This record gives sequence, structure tokens and C-alpha cells, in this order.
Amino acid sequence: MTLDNEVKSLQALPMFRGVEPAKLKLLAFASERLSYRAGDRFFRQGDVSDSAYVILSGGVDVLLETGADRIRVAQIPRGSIVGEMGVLSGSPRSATIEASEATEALRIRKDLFFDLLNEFPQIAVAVMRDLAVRLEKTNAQLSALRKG
Amino acid sequence: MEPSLFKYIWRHSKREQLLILGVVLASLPFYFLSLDLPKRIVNDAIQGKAFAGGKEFIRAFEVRFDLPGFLGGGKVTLFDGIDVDRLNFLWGLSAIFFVLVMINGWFKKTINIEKGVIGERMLRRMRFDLFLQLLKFRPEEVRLVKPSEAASIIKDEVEPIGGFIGDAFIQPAFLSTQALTALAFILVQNIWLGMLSVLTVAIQAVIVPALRKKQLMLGKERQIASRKLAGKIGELVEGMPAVRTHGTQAYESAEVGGRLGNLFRIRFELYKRKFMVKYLNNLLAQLTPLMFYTIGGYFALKGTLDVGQLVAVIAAYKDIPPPVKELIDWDQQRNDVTIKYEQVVEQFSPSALPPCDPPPATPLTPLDGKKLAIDGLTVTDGRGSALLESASAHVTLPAHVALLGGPGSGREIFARAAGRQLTRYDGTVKIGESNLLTMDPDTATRLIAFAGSEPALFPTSIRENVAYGLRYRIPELPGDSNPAELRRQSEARRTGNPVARAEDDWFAYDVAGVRDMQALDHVIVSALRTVGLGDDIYRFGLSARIDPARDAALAAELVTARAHIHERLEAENKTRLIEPFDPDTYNANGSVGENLLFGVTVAQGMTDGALLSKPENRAVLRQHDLRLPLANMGVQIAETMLEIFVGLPPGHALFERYSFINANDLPAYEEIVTRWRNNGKSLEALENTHDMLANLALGYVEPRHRLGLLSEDLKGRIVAARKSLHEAWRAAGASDVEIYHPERFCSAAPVRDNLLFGRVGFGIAGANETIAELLQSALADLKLEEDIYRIGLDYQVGPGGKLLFATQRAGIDLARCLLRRPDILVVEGSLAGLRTADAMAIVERLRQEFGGRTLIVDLPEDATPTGFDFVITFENGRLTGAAPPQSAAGG
Repeated sequence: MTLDNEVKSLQALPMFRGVEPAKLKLLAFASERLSYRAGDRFFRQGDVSDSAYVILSGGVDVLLETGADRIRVAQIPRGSIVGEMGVLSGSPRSATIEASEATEALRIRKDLFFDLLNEFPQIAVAVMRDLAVRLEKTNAQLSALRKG
Repeated sequence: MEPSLFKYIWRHSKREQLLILGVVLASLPFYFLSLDLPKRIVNDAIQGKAFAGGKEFIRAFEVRFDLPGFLGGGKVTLFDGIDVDRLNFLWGLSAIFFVLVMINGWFKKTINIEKGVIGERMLRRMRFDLFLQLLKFRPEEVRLVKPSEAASIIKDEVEPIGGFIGDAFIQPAFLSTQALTALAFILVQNIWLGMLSVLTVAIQAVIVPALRKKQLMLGKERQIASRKLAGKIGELVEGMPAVRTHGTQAYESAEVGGRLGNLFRIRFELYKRKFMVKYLNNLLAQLTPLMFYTIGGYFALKGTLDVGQLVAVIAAYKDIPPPVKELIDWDQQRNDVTIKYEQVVEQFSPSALPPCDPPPATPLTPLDGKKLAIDGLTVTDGRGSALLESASAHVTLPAHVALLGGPGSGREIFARAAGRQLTRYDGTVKIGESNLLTMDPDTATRLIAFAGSEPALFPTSIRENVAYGLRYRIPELPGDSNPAELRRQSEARRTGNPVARAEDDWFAYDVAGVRDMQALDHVIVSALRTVGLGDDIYRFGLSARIDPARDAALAAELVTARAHIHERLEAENKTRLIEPFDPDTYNANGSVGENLLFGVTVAQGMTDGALLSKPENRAVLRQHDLRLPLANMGVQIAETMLEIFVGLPPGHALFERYSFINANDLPAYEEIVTRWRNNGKSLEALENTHDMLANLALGYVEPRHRLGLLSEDLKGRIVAARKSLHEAWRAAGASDVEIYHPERFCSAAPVRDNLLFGRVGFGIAGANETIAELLQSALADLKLEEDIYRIGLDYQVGPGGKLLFATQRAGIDLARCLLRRPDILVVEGSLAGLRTADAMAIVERLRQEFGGRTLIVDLPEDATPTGFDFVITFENGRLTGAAPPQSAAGG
């Protein structure tokens, strides 16, 4: 996949709606493109949060490790960004992320991430939008659990 | 050190000085003769006095002298003389004069050489004695010595003293006898002229020293200012990071400039005075002969002085001012050098340590049952405030002692006192009956090792630094009697220098429990692993380069390992992680430049672009029709760069890190891209841009940059060009590049690259970690891990260990202590930079290593002292608890 194709994929993602293609190209160019097979791990709970990932294709599982058990708490499809929470807050990873199928992702390292956020407000808005959507979903799940 | 310079010189060079004095005395008769001869030549030969009375021939050149009465009287004739006429007489006398001149000259040469040698020997002794003084400084005092000042003193300030030593006794002897001889000669010839000479000399001897007093003071000022300048520059070099961070260059420049200005001022004053005095001296020296001509001429005309005498007197007088001037100079130098010497000795007078006890009669070790007794230990800082007050603890050895307390609690002080790093304190620190402060150094260094927060590393390899603690066994001298070696030894003894040679083997291998250097490597690696630096050394080893000429066996084994590693990759289904180098294929995960060269540039720092723009290489590229395609790639890369980095200021971090083009070149590329677009996106007409654009293309890696610029055809042509380049280099014998060869070791590439012999696949998550694991496991299988560690030990640490992190420096210091297997190890601050978990892991390993021996270690604040026999806590400069750790409450 060339850079142009990646930019097209990024443009199709709801998260990056309204961001200039040139900025997306910069994002794609400066990031690392990684291929994962099913079961390959992105990062483990407790690891240092050093990068965020944009899922270009495929999907990932979010797993919480409790002692010997692993509980799948969510599934994140293509078009989302994962790992940005740890980067933004500076805390270690709150969960383990593994690819649930063959997945292509863009890995944005921490300093690049902050540079992009600082320089291009559109990207910052995109990230915030994604976080907001996820928070709404989580709140909805929580209230459903409370009621049930 | 001896406070008086002359006593020091006399004590150490008495014999030589007397010897030379003897030579000086022996030269005097010849000197006197040479003064007398001109007179005889002029009077007797030229003027013919000896032939008075019409004699044609005279008997001359008799050597006859009378014996004194107590030897029997009578005459002794050594030579009867020959008959000569006037001309031959002249020739004869002149010949004798010539011989005398030669003899005098030879005497002078011998004396000068000997003086120089005496001076240099003394200088060697003096420098070494100063160095010994340095070794005697207390730790608290050494801290306050500026290294560059000390270096400046030992190297530069004593140099003029050395130059003076040869002259110290001889010069006044030689010169004064010369001057007195000449003066006596003149007085004998004519009393008035003699008196005149004496008067002139007296004037010189009185006025000149008076004028020079000021010079002496200036000289002292200059010495101190010069030393301080050296100190300041050393200080600045050490503190350069601070200067850079806070931007104080202007201030520091003003400071140094000011000092230089001061030095210049002192020098200027010195020059003025020096040349003023010179002028006066010369004036006197010239005036007097003038007076001789006048007054002497008067006497000659009057008849009371003959011409020959006058000429001789003038010749003799010419010989007075120089020695007198030199005597005055000598006096000046003497004063100057004495001041310098006093200054130097003052700087190097450490306060005396209490005298050492003799080594204990019954050996201290094993320590079983003895007590470490610390009583009333009080340490104050320079201003009198207590850093640690009245600390007392008694621990039965051997024991593992934990020290707990925050910074400033006094814990570090306690540890340093126990580790022999402090010498100024009240109270006592004893082991058994022996006081640590007065323990003799040999016993003490065997007994206790200290690893502190400010490790001292030397600019050598890691191996050398860790093994440093073993460098104390004085080697035997070689048995052979090679003349150069014997001479070296005798010179060393003569000047109080050590006779043993630094290049021999000083390592006390037995202390580390091994027999030689090979086995020592193994122990060093093991010690480094204990202190948690195992991975670091391993990594250093992998990224090092080795010389296959020196380590042929190892290089061969590493090449064999390549095949093994690739087999492993296949077996574990991980072949996609590494794309191996194949001379016939394009390596997609390598850059265009790498693919073209297919090797490593031998000269570190030469870029691929620079190499490929050499005319012969460029010709090959053109031959394979690559210039235009590469340039096309380049212009498209430039276009993309401009597109995606638009709007960012050129100095921006994003730009610096990710762009192909650096900020300075941006405008040039912008221009090229514009012209290209205007030219219908064709580079045909833009020949002069091809080089610049091709350079951009050299760094391109398709899987990484993903611009879709490499076609299969282009790749094929690049491989073909590669082969042509290799052939061309082989034919021309060029060796700019070491070519990758599947069966050979590439000495220009690091070990890791040689082992993997390929490029890591881009885009595969965790590739580097997986490969690292596999590599380690493969090396372990092939039993090559030890070799990698060994190579890692060669890593150079830089001055003061600057090329390492602080935690690595501390680790090496700790490993150095471990190697010596002391009975007591005190650790203070070495574990400071580490996370608690890592630090405690090291502490645990240390405890295992020191089972049955004593370990005193400071623990991180939030650590629990499990497994320790004794815990000492500190707070606010006081010892607040000294007891075995509380056993865990049940349940």
C-alpha cells in the first residue's frame, strides 16, 4: 500500500473527517506502518505508553489482565485510534491490546503524536472526537449494567 | 618536601655539582693562558720584542718549570724548545692560541651539557616528588585541588626551576672566577685601568638588582595568574554542559578574556623592565672600552702602558661585562626560582595524616567474630555544622548491614567513614582492634572496597576499568641485560623514580581467583552481570566492530553463525523478519544507496552520496541508465516532502526528524520542483539538478516510505549497476567500500549486522524484539555469547566515563570492587539512579555473592531490608537505630 492509498483509507475514517489530506499524508509518512497477524500483541497492560495506533484494517481486542485471567472488555474495529489514552495521560497501559484478525495499523510514537496535536488542531479535534465517542459508549454500557 | 630549594638541590646532586666544579677549575689555567697569549703575539712576535737586538732565531716553546723546595728544588724540563725565526714564532704562538681556543670551547661544551643533564635529572625527581605529594593528600583535600592547576604546576611551573638547577652552584663559580681572573689580569697590567673596571662592575652589580626587584614581584604574580588560567580553562571544560544549557558563553568569554588581559599586562611590565635593564647593561658595556681607548690610549702615548698591554687589557675587559651580567642574571634567576619553588611546595603540602600503624601481627582476616565498632563518629563540614553526630554502632562480622535514611540523614557520611573515604572526624572506627584511620594501606585495601556515588573511571575500555582494582602487584624486572633497559633502570634509581615498568603485567590475578587475562575476562563479565550491566555489555558487543585480521577465528565463527541464524528463522517461521543480503537480488528493506553499494563505506562519515558522486562511480550509473530514473525518484520525493511539510517552519522538530530534506536545502529543492513542474514534469533539460535529486533517492526504502517509486525494472538495473561497481572497484584496487560477501566477515560493519546479514523487515510489529531474542538464543546455542561479552568489554568509556550513563559508571565501579573479593564491601549511592525493583535485584545478587562476607549497603528509601542481619537507620544527621531487622509479625 502506498502512502496515497493510506491517506485515502485515513480520509474514509470518521475520526479524520475534515482533516486536510496533506496533514494526513504527514501523519502517514511519519508513522510506522505495521502488519499484525491474529493474536499478535500491540502492547501489554502495565507497559510504558510510548505510542498510539490507528487501525487501518482488521480489528483489535481490548483485554484486562487480572492475575491469571484475561477478560475481553471491548473490541475495536478499523477506523479507530487505540493507545492514545496512555500517551495523553502518561500512565502505564491500562489494558492489553491484541489483534483479533489480520490487522494493519499506523504506529504514531509519543513525541510525533504530541507534535501533531500541537501543530495541527484538526488532528487534535479528531482525537478528541474519537475519545468522546468512546466515552459516550462506555457511559451507555455502564448505565445499562447499573439498570440490569 | 624540602622547603629550601638550595638544600634540595644540594642533597640530590652533590656529587655531580662537585664534579663539574672540578672541571670548571681545571679549565681555568687554559683560560688564563688564552688571555695572556694575545699580548705575547702582538708584543713578542708582531712587534718583535722577543727578537730585540737583531736576533734572527730564538729558542721558544720551552716547557720548563721549577720544583718547589720541599720536592728537592731544581728544574724540570719537559720540552727543550726549538729555534724559530720571527714568522715561525708568530705561527707557533698563533697555533698555540688556536689550540687553547679549541680547548676552552670543549670545556665550555662539556660543562654546558653536564649542567643540562643535572638540571633534567633534578627536574624528573622534583616532578615525581610533587606527584608523590599528591598521592598523600587526604580525600577531603584532593577534592579541593583543581586538576588542571595541579597539572600546570607539575608540568610548567617547575620547568624554569629545572633550567636553573644546573646553574645553581656552577654558574656563580664559573662566572665569578672568569670575571675575577680577567679583572686580576687587568689590575696586573695597569692599576688605573683595573680600578676603572672594578668601578664599572660595582655600578652594574648594585643598580641592576635594585631595578629588578620589581621584576621579581611581577614574576610571582605571573606564575599565579598563569596557573589560575589553566585552572579556569579546566573548570570550563568540565562545566561546559552548564554553559551551554544556560547560555553563559558571553560571561565566560569575558572572564577568560579578562584573565588573558591581566597576563598581558604583567608581561608588558616585565618586558619594559627587562629591556630597560638590558639597555643599561649594554650602555655600560660599551662605554667602558671607550674609556679604555681614551684613558688607556693616553697612558700608551705617555709611555706608561705598552700597546700590547692595552690591546690585551681591552680584550680582557671585553670578557668582564658578560660574566658580570650573567652573574647578575643568575642572581635574578635565583630569586625568581626560589619564589617559584616556594610557591609550588606550598601548594603541594598536604596536611599530615596520622602515622600508619604497622601491619597487624595476627592477620585480620578471617573476620569471624570480630566486631566493626563505630563509636561517637562525628563529622562536620567545613563550616562547623555537623553532618553526622555521635553515631555509634557495634556489628559482629561477617554481617549484611542495610543503611536506611534519606539524603542529608547522615547515612552517606557513615558509609564513607566505614569505607575509608573520610579522614577528618571525631570518634573511632575500628575493626577488631585495628583503627581504620591508621591502618596500613596494604591491609586496608585488601580488607575493604568502597563503591560510591562518584565513581572514578579512566578513559580506557570497560575491561581495563573493571580490572583496575587488581593493578597493584609490582612486576619483576626483566632478567635480560639489554643496555637500553639497564640505562633506564639506573636513571630511574638516580632520580628517585620507580624502577618497575608500567607496561609489564601488574594484575594480581590470584586475588580475583584466576590465572591470567583470558580467565579474568570471564570473571569480569560475571561481575558485570551481578551489578546488572550484563545486557549493556552484550549490546556493546553486538554493536562493536572487530578486526578479522586480529580475531580471525572469531570472525569465522560469526560467519558460520549466520547460516545457523537463518535456519532458526526458517524453523520458527519467522523468515519474514529478516531479508537476507543476496548479491543477486535487490533488498527491499535496504535503501537505494545500500543496494547500489552493497557494502559499508570504510571511512566512517563518508556518505553514500559522496561516494557515488565520484566520477568513476557516476560513470557506472550513467552506463546502466540510472541517472535519470534516480533523479526522477528524487524529484518526486522532494515534491512529496514539500507537500506534506507545507506550513511548518523549517526548524520545526517534525521537519528535522522525518524529512528527507534538511531545512537549509529546502529553498533549493523548492526551486527545482517548480522548474520541473513548469517543464512538464520532465527532468530532461535540467541536467545540473540530477546530482542533488539522485542524492535524495539514495535514502529511499520502499516499505518504509511507501511512495511507490521503485519498479521491478529499476530494481533490476540497480542490481546490475551494483555488479559493475564491484567489478570496477576490484579492477582499480579501490577500497572505499567493504563489500558484503555471504561467506566473509565485513569488518566495517558491526557484529550484529554481520550476524543477521540482512535488513530487518519494515512493518512487522515487534520485529526488533523478536530478532533480539532469537539472536541471543542462537548465540547461546553456538556458545558464542561469551565472545560477544568479551567484545563488549572493549568498549571505550571516554574521559571520566563520559560515554556511559551514570548508572553504568556506578555499575562498573561496583564490578571493580567485586573483582577484588574484599572481606568488606561498602556501597553508597551506586544504586541511586535505578528503579527500586532493579536496585533491590542487584542488592539481592550482591548478598548472594557476599554470603559469609560483610556487605554494607544503602537501600532505596522505600525498600524493605529483608534478609539483612543488621539495619542502621539515620535521620537528620543522627543514627536513630542499629539493630537486627524486626522479624515479620506472625500471620
